Amino acid sequence: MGATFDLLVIGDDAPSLCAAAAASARGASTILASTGAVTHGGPSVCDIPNFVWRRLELQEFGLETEPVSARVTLLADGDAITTYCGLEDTVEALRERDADGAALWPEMIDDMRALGETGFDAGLNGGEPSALSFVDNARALADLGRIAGSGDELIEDFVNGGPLNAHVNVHALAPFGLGGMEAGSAAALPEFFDEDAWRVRAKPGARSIIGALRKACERHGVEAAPPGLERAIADGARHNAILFKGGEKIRSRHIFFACPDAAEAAGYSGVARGAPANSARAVMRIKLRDRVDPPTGDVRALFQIIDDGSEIKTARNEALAGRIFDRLPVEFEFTEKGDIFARTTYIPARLQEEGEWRDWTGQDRQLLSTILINRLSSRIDGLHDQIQKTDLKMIACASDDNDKFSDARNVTLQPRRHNAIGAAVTLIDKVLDDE
Amino acid sequence: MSNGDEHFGKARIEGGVDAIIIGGAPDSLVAAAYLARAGLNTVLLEASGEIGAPYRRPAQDGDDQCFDGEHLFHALDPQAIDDLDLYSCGVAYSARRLSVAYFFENGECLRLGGDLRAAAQGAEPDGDAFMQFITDMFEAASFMRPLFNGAPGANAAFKTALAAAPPRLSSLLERWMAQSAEQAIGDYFPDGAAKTAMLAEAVFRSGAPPHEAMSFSPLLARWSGETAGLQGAVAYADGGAVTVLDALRRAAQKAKVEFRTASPVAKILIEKDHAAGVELVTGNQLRAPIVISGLDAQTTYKNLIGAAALDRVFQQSISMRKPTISTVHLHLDLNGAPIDASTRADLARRIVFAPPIDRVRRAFVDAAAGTVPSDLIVEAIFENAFDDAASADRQRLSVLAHPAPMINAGDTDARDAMRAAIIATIEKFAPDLGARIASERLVTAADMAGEIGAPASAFAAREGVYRQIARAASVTSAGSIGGLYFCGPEAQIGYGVNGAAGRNAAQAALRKGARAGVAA
Repeated sequence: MGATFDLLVIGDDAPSLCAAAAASARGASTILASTGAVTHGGPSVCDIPNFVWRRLELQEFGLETEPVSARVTLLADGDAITTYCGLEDTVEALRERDADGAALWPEMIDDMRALGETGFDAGLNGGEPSALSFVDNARALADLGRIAGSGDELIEDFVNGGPLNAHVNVHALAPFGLGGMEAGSAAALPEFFDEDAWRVRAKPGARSIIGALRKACERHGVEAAPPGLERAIADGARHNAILFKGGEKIRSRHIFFACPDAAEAAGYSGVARGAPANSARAVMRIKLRDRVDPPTGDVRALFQIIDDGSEIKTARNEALAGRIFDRLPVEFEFTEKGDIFARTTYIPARLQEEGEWRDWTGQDRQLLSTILINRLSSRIDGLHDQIQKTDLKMIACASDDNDKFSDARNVTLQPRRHNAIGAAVTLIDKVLDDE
Repeated sequence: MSNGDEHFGKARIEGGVDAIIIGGAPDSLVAAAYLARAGLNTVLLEASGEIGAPYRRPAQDGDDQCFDGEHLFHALDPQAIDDLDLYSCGVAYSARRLSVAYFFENGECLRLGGDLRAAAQGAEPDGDAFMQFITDMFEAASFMRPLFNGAPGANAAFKTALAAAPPRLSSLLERWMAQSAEQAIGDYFPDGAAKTAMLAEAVFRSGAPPHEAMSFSPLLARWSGETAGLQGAVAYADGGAVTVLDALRRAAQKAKVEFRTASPVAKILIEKDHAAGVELVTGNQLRAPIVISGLDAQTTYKNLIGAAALDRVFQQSISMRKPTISTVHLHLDLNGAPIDASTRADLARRIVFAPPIDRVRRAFVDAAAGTVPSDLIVEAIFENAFDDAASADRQRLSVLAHPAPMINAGDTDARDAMRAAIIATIEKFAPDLGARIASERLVTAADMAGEIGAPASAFAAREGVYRQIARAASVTSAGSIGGLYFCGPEAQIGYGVNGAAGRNAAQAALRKGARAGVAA
């Protein structure tokens, strides 16, 4: 091949596809490389903001989405707490079980969104602007102080303990693998309340979101890279040479990862910078013989399993110590066909046994599978009997030694975000504008 | 201003005072000295029977030797030293640029001379990495010093300087402010002794665990003082840290500050959004247009002023989550090893035990959960090795151990466990030390706080520097109450005796007064 591009985008997920199509649509020569791995796993993606939708003219590609029906937290003893995309629906639902929470909810959303703007302006989520340049603005500094604190502290400004506190914490923090006690974990909360952070699914019967976005990439002129990216190396004064397994080679000015999932799958060690220490993730697809009744009767919701609010902290600490926690928080959702995608972000990248660190073994993976199934079975009646097949994928960051990009230049990574698509397109625009 | 006393019923209202300083902490003394030197009739109110009493504890042999929580100085404000002529008031260092001996779990030891640049050059096997790290750190820490000193206007000046800084430096600063200690240090060092030592330094006395975001910044704040260029490394005050307290008291006395001991304050009087003086626990009022609090923020704003006079945003900005991490101080007098000329040179240094990094992580997790960790970072100083004149028939060891949980006053089990963990740690590099203990005293954050009726949180380990800067900006804004200034512990970035917060509060009061004078 040997062609030269402005941008190489690596990834198979919605943020990567949107970023590639958006860059190409504005005239950058763009090539997209697949990692060949299931990185996110599941039918829902974060919402596609209007500015992305318009630029890519997504309606042309049969894309039809609808919001995930609800965020549900399945607590111990059959208790569940649910919030909805619509403010009124949530207030109504909360009023029945948590009057104080219902009263506070609108104020919390307003305050969190305002904080989110400060955080974004300050670049606390990995962007370019300087948080230090805010030191002369008293109000912004006070906001930054809150965002730079722990998630626990920020949420307690509104909801002091209880199921609603646990619900917000687990939905906001689990995608990051955070426990809520970490400095800076508060930054995940304002973004969680961003309108574009609410996840969407393809409407029943409509084309899959990924399928539609692939089509958009094709139509906007994104080229497809050969399979099997082997290594990226700085080449000449401004470019990278990208080498593939089949011996093909291309050149690219920039390398762009729209989300850490893609970067991990591609073998970029820089992901570790924004991730909790010793953290890995697992995605399990469970194929069922027959449909099961979803908890709360809602098949289009996004579910979290925790026994109580402190569990994500324990889980995080267990991962840090190199242990597999037997009460792992699990996020899951149902596919159109009724299969289940389950995810957890609270597993260790490396395990520790009797003071020695080691890699995962088949036995460890088996244990993890068992824990995930047990956790799901504790909330989904009759699940055990319907399991036909499970497929467990573990995703961990490449070590420095195995980094395929250690000799590359101009590598940009969008850190993990709730509104990953909007953030990725904004960042790729910035990369191109800076040219 | 009325001059003299008025009596209403039993309570007495006293006027004729220009400024009131609440509390006898080091920063309060600095603030009082500045105001009095400017010609203001200044009264300092101390709740206990002696100025600085809560910070001064009798050492085992009876003389006032200890200044709890501090045995070394990282950054005594150089401007306060000059302005208040503190050297003539008794500030003296018997040792500066202290060398450090780092001990490790595997029994190895890394010795670094007091001049870190020179020491880094010779450090093996990580000499190049170490040199680069020290060079970058010194450049960044020096650049950030004005921001950490928190003077009014310093933040705006810092922003201007940042915009003009070389891109490499500004991006380094941004990165370091946000990074975890493990990331920032891992960028320089391969695994090894120097890495373990620097990681221990970064999180020592910090509330931020090494694996979490923003946990590197406290080291930048600490090194922005003595280490990165003022005098080099850390210093030991001649006669112990208590001599610095005495010097500050002398400076205030010389400036004619009126000290009133046994005068606990019940209320700060606010009239028309302006401080008007204080009401004492006795019911008597002392009125003055300037009030500076050197007490902690919670006591100052929540107890002495009350929520009604403060807006919600301000209250939110000064609120602090219950802290979980603290440092514990253990004083030991040791039998059987007199200090003499031959041992003095070897003992007159800073001794640090640096556990392996994954155990430090674990220690923070345990401490945050309220458990005494089995691994601790320990800083030990043989106090009487610095004093040529000391009789030194015993070794006196001052130890700071970190991270400790917040131990409730009276929790003897936790105290015992903490003591045992500290002794076990010291015995890793000084075998059989436990058998030589003649007397000992353990001091926790709750002990310190209890002495002055403050919440233990005032003596807890601080979090990352962003939060400290944000909180310092809030607490020193004093909720926009005119005439009220704040120099309590939350006004300072980092730990240790510094004095800049007291100077800043006094200078802000004087500037405001000068402007008011011009207007009149």
